[in-house]
Amino acid sequence: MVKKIDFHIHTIASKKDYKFDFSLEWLRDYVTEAKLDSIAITNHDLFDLDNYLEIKESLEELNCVVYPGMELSLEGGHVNIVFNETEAEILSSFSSWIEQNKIDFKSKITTAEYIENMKKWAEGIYIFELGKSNSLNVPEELSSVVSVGGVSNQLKFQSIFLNDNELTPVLFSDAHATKKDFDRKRNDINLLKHKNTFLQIDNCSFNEIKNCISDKIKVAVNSDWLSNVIEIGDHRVSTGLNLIVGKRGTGKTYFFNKVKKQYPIEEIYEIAQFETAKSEEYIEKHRKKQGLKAFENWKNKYSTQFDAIREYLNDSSGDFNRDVDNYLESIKVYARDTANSNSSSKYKLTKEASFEVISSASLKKYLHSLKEIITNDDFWTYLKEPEIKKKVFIETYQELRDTYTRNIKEGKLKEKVNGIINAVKSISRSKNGISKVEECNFSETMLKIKTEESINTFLNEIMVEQELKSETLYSYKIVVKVSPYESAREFRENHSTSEAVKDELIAPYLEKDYIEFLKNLARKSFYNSSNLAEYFMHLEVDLLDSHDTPASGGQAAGFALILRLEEAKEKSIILIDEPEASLDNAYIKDDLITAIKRLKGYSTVFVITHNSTLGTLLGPDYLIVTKKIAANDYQVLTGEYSSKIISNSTEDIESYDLFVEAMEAGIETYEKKGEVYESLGSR
Amino acid sequence: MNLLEVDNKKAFFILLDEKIEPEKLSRDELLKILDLVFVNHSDIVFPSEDEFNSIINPVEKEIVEQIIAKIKEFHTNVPNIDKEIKDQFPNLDNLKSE
Repeated sequence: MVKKIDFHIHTIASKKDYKFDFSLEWLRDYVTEAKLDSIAITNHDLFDLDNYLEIKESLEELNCVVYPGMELSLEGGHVNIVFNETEAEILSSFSSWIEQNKIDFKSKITTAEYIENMKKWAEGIYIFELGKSNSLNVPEELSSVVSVGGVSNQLKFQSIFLNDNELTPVLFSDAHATKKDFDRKRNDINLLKHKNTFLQIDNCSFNEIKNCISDKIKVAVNSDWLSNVIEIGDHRVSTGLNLIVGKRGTGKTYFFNKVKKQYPIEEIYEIAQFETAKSEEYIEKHRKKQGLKAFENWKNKYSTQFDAIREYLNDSSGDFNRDVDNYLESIKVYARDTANSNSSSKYKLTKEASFEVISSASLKKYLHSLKEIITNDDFWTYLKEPEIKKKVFIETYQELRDTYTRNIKEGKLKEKVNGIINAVKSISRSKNGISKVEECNFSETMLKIKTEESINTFLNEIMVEQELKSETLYSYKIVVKVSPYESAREFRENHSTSEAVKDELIAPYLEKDYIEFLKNLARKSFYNSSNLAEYFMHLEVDLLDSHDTPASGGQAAGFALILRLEEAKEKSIILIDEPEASLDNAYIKDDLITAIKRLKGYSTVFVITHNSTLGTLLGPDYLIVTKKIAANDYQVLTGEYSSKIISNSTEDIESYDLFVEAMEAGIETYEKKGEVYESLGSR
Repeated sequence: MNLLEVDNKKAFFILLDEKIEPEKLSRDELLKILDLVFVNHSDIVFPSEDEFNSIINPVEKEIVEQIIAKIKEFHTNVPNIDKEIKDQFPNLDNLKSE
């Protein structure tokens, strides 16, 4: 659960403060409006037992637990000390000692004096104020106590929270419980209610608070950052990470089934027992998926070029070498015939060359693309002032369309003129016997030659080994790469064909004569133009470990589990049953625990384990312990892990014995293991 | 860049440092001339009417006139062909950074 606490409230002005009048009514309003579950009374070098008891009694009906404390002026700076309710009288005695011995308002207390005069000093919570002029580093003598860093605003909380070397931060109000204060910021409830700390605890017992603040991730300034609780049957569990332990046959699966009964199956992702050992199939599926995805991206990157190559291969128009040869031969015959004849020179048209018309594929493509954008209603909804922008597009389209239609008209006209010229030439030839000049379109010929040059240049550039994708997932890396084929066998295997390819395909391919390769490829029975890119490159997907070497079978099992955990994030509830199968403890410690912990940011997670490395280092939000009472009758105890208490509807018990029993088969086994390790380590 | 040279009333196609007699023009040489026209599109100088008329051999003159007429037609299409190629095979340097 999540509880809200203010660790620092003044109720009485000491000689070190300016004067203000305590108001219990204000304090009740503050607790109510700020929705506080607990507060600490921390006056300056002063603890007034009567005042504390009055507040405690009054706030009990608001379900707010009040702890005794003090803002202590130690020699090096200020520290707030907070103690259990049972120590109120001890704190009161210490306050009397201060009053008698530190008369001057400038007086400071040494750490040694504090330790000597404050009994049970080691049992308190110490809040060292951070980021203020009177900030204090933790004195060496107090290094063993539970310490946190007090901050005055949420930004400071965040910066300290994110710094691993800093104390756990807590945000407090430093309020004056009064209706009228010289400084408005000290009693403005609307302001102060945002200066409290949220703790992930089930109850506001002193020990729970103390245990909780020792774990930074269970402290926050926003309740949404912490895990709350839900009920599974009669059992309270965390919305974050739940660890389920218990001997075999004690009802862990029975508990999983309870979760499955309570939530729709489509909201649950389950990694069943021993599933992690069956990793090969899962990895293969993922490997294929990753490879194809990366390859698809690579193909898309060069889609224009691949389309152009397809178009080149589909173009069945004749052999331009033959056309040029025929043309040159015919023109020489024609010239000689013409020279020997006097009639042809009368008609200039008979000597004219035909117009050469080439199609403008690009212009047509651009027109289609523009039209697609203009007519896509959804596209324009993403823009501001779509009508104005659309108008520009329409104008562009119109201009391009005009050019396109002009070209088309011109082409048609030229074709017509060519027809007339050919007719005149034909009539002339029938009259004077002069031979015909064979047709040869220089423009089409050069377009084809230049296309071939471009295909060769393009393929030369891209057909080199290249890494398409490298994705790191914990200590694994998936590397997708493409490389040129090295042999006919590799090519055949890749395309599942038994057709001979060595001489016709692989030989020109290896010699980088890609036009010859393509022409021969297009004649093969297995050729499919939609797979064109696959004929150029060989796809490889490698799974590497942290040393960039191919992962072993065991490592692959770990990787498969990580992949499944990633996939599980999509579901609200994740059930993981004994994920340790096939995994070594180093992997569990280094990768698995991090991956499972990360999951709780997305879903409610339940983990069953018998592995002590996983169980003890996981650091769950909630501990669930199962026990068998009779046949088909199980007892389930649950509790906030840091509270060290687990309970069911009838009892609260300390989790220690049951947890150690489940993880280590009892403390004796654990100690025995320690002895064995020690003995192995000694010479 | 001249495509034709008339030397002593005899015509020659110019291919870099080579001079080719019209009747001996081969397919490869014609394609090389077309490539020069493609690459040096804006620098191409076509022979004038006077140059054509100065060619004394009528067969030679006919061949030259026919081929030059077709090259001229090709020349007008070069910008379109160039554009078409560049559209189909854009510069890979722009894609490599993606």
